[in-house]
Amino acid sequence: MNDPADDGYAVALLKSMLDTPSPSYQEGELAADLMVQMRAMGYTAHLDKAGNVVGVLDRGRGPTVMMLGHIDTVPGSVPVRFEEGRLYGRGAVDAKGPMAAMVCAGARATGFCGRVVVVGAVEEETPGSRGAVHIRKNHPPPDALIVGEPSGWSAVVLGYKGKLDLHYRVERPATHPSSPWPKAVELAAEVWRALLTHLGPDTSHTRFDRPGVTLVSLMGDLTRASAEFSVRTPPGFDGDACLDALRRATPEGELLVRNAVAACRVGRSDPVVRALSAAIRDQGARPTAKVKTATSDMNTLAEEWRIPMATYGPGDSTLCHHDDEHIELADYLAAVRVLTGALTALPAAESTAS
Amino acid sequence: MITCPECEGRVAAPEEPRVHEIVECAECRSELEVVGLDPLLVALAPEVEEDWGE
Repeated sequence: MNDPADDGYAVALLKSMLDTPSPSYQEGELAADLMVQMRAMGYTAHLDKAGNVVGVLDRGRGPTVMMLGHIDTVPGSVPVRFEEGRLYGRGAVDAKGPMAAMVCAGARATGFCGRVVVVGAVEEETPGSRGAVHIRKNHPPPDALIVGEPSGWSAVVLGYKGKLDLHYRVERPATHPSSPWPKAVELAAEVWRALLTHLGPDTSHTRFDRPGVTLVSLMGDLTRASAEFSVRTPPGFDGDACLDALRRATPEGELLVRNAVAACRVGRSDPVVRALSAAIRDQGARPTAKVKTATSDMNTLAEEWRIPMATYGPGDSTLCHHDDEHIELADYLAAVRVLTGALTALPAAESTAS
Repeated sequence: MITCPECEGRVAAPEEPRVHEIVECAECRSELEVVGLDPLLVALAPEVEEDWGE
């Protein structure tokens, strides 16, 4: 039953993970279950202080390769079931499918020389990404990193946009609506207008190289108002200049940064990208390279780890958080083989690049 | 050596080239895709796709 080389076992592992709900902040049961499963597959596994499950396979001298996915999901239930070669369930693609694929691949890659570290991180779906931050602070940077998110089994993600989440609040003395002084809700609207002006006319949520902006909320009246803005930032975006511009435009009130993470992007010649692409080719497909307009734990880790990295995992990312979330089992099993091949090839790819 | 289809610069061929492998032209930084092995042929690699979501 615990033979990781068995596709049936790989599917059973994913189903058991889907059968255990794990919305953010409630990952404990799944983390403990996964620790037990990893030990049965030969990993040395433990739960760290953040609640992440960490499994290690020591296979002699060689690089340390970390595969990090997340075990939390957004809230909501999707009945777990098999239908026409698909497995349905909350987290099937985001990101228990990629996580289970990494766990199985680590165990299958017996030809890999070095150390495999597989991390199931908590709270990726929350603003703080506490699990990945804990790993970044407490784990030495590995030699290479694969982040588990649904790229699609034949695609590799090279990077993600960053994010700047802002909160504005202001209070003004009570006054008649016809008074000439600015009202609180007008000031909040003015910050939104100043943000649009600063970002320019070409904002986009579909282009990687342009900022995208969302007015998340705007509430208020004449005396009190608050607003939330979310900016998806391209590589090189100057967050401090943005904040300065907003504070100059609207000196009243308080503008706070709720969350900020920079964009990240590696090149196609990155050793991890090359190893994953070669493994995809070995499965008979033409590898696709993607950049994404959302964020993931790759952003969090890339802020301090200057190492080869990429994001990879099975699943259609348009089904993330969807009521119909499911994964094609053939794609999931193909991803297990791709990850196994990439792991085995990584030491060679790294030495070629250096 | 192979010739870059963008700038006609000389590009070192991969030691063990494989179809769909990506190589970079050191002169113009173009990304090239191996599209044939015998003889070795390269073409400009497809653009990196931009995708919504995680």
